[in-house]
Amino acid sequence: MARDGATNRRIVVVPYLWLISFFVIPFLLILKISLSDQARARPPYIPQLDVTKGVEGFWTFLTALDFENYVTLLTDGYYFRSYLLSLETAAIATALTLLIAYPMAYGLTRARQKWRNLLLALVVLPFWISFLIRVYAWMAILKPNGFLDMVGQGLGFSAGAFALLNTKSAVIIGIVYSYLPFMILPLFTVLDKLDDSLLEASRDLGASTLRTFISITLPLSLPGIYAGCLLAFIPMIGEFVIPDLLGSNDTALIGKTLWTEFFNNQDWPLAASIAVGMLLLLLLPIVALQKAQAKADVRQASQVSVGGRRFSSLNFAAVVFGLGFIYLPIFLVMIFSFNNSRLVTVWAGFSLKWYGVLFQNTQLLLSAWLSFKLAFVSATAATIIGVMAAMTLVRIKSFRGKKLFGFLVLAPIIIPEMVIGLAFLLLFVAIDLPRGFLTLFLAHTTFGLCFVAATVQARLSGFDSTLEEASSDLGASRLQTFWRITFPLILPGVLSGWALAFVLSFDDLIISSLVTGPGATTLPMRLYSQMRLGVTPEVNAASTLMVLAAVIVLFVTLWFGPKRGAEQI
Amino acid sequence: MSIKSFVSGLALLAAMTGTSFAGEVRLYSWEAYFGADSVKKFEAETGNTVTYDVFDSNDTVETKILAGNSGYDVVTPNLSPHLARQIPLKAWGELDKARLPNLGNLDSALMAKVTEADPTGFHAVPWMWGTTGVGHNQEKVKAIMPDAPVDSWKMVFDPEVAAKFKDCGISVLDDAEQVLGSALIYLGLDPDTDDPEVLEKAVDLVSKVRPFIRQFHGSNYIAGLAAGDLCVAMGYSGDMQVATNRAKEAGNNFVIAYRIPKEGNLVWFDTLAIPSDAPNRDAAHAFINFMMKPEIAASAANETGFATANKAALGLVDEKIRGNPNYYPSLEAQKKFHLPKVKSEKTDKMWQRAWNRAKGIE
Repeated sequence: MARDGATNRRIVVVPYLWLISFFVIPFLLILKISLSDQARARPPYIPQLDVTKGVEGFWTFLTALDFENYVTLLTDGYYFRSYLLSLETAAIATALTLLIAYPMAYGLTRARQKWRNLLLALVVLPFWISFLIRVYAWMAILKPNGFLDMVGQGLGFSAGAFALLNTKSAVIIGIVYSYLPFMILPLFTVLDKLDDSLLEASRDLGASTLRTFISITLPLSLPGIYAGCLLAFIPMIGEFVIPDLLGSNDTALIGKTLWTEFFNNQDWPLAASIAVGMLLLLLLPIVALQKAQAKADVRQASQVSVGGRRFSSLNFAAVVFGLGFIYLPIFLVMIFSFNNSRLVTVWAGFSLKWYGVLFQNTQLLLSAWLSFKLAFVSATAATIIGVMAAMTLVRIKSFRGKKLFGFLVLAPIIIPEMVIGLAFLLLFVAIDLPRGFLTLFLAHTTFGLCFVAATVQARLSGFDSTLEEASSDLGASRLQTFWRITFPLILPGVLSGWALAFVLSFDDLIISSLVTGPGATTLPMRLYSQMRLGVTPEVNAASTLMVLAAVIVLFVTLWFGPKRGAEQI
Repeated sequence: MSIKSFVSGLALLAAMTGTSFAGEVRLYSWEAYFGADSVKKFEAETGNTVTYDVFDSNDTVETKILAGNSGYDVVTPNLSPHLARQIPLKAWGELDKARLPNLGNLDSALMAKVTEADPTGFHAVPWMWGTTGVGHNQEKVKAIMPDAPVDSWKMVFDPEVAAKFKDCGISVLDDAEQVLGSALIYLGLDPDTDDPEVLEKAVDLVSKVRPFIRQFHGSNYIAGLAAGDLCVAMGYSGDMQVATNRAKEAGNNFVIAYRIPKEGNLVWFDTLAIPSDAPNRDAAHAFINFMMKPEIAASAANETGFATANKAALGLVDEKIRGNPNYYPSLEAQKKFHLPKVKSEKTDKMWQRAWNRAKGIE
């Protein structure tokens, strides 16, 4: 592990202060509410702290708090069963996501440098289409007489055999699809620095491909597997929108249970206690895992030789399969943007009319622009602070409150989004901050930075610090060392983290609808409101244009961008 | 001169000259719930600018309103139970009748229903309204069961009938109040009951038809019916009209029809209301008054397909919708409509758990 010398200890201040302001304080509000009682009041719980009564008022307030909600959680089996069911669903989905993502990420790192960036961009690109649109496309694929059912019938299966919509399988497919980049990017980040000379050595010593994989590749990629599973598994547990749209709503996943308590019953205290309970239940195993992870941290060589990398047919198949899975709904969205019918799921002839309609719909365009700006700005801020957090966690061996800090970086991922949203809302109401773009930015940056930190941490672990030491020995300042040595080495992690934070912000619905204010309706909010009456194809047209724009930008940068190659380590 | 004193000076000027107050109206509503040009016309006529934000459920509205200081001037909440239970919490401001001269355009029978939920004051005017009933695909239903009881709750609550449409697709709302309330009406019981034993009868009823139901969802049935993926759906009248229009636009060779069940049904109202902490009450009143103009209310009714509560607008509403008693029921038929009452938190929770059992998740 690195010594403290190369990293300025002061970088801890920024992420620490940020997380205390925008996570600890809102969380304390939630903790307080979880000890309160539901009431028909505004806000809907008692007791309320009466500051005019001074110390006495504070004492009355304090004594009125109780653990009643936690007792309910423990004695009423419903909540625990709902939680277990969600853990099970998330575990299955995570395993499947890993199964698809691992070979694909591995295949990507084997591709030639020229192709690698292009392929990686192709993986991330579809996720710039709002996830509600992608989920809607899955509805068209999975419904009776939908794409999959038709293919099944063509192959001789009975009609309806592959009509998976409104089943548990549909929910799993939707979740796996949506969380794929959360697995691929951390895996790619780690597999990319895998030293090929180790693989060669293994082969030279007579190990089979399988043996090499199990004893070399797999152990070395563990930090990536760990980060990917963490980033996918945890948010999957509290997922609400995907089961709502693809499931049959006759399974009580914790996201739905929480939604019911929070929104339908307006029982904020019980919802808050469920969230605190989830945090406690998830945090302990995760912290334990992290410790084990730190111990098992393997020192890796820094001089990664990439010359001997070959793109085998197996790699090729994995990448093609993964891309096919990712692009199937995207192609449908693009095709249906030319649909003459207003229905998004039924084909009725070719037409360009939705492109005309789209440019009339200034509301939709404004929301899309707002979401894009928001995602760009908050992802960038989240990346800056997230990299600082990751450096702090990996590079600074010990400082006061390091454990707390490690906890803070993970916690916002674990707390279900509707509770985080409520916590932010209450904070902003308490400090009287007018809600709008600024509050959206603060909220998105907070959860984004946690995802960035986890991704960059995976890249930093096992990082060879001798280069940095050499740099400072040769007289470089800390800043020079960071920009010349550290930053280029962790760049893939930084870019992956940025992309994840962008997608998270761009797709966020629940937190945004809680913390936004007049004049700031994001794209997912507009789409979800529109979904009540069915999405119109102009949304498909907008998505198609966005994909095209992204593809053009991509090719231009690859074509005219600086020719990279050898300097990439 | 500070902005505040400038604004209050303007207000004073506006009050003196009788012209409407210029400023910003922050509107919070469903997507496309007003005529496409109506907002622009309002801006042109009054000089106010409108910021139109959208929500995706009444629950989101309730959360924001309960948290306080939402920043909105005009909101379109559901009347009962949502708005009705928020009024005693002083979440909504009293409307000033003097500033709403177009109030006389509204249907007095519907206004009476609104007063039922807001007996102590005047906090909302009805905007759109409708019923909860059953929509069906005429061609597909006829092919499967020529004598299907399409005007009855039997379509979804009678296991023998529902079983026939299982493969064709049945969708039911995912809402304790709506589904259990309708089931209680079908059973001839009190649709607002707080008696667990009575409620359990509704749970049993839904449990028996559950195997034949494809999905419990609040809105997916609109697209499902329009695309021909569903045969029968329990849902809201306005949404059924949307599904009917979508099916027509798509050139599908079937008709989606909606019936108000003969056993009785629940009724709903979306209202125009002003939060008690609205920044611009003057402009909010001007907006609400403008939306009560017959031609403005009619354009919204024609574009959304929802039934307007504006009686003076009816003459301008598309004859095909207005003439359909399932969307604009007669006064006589309206007597059977039941407006859900506000229940205690305890009863609400009991209903929620009962609904879980009805869906088989508990």
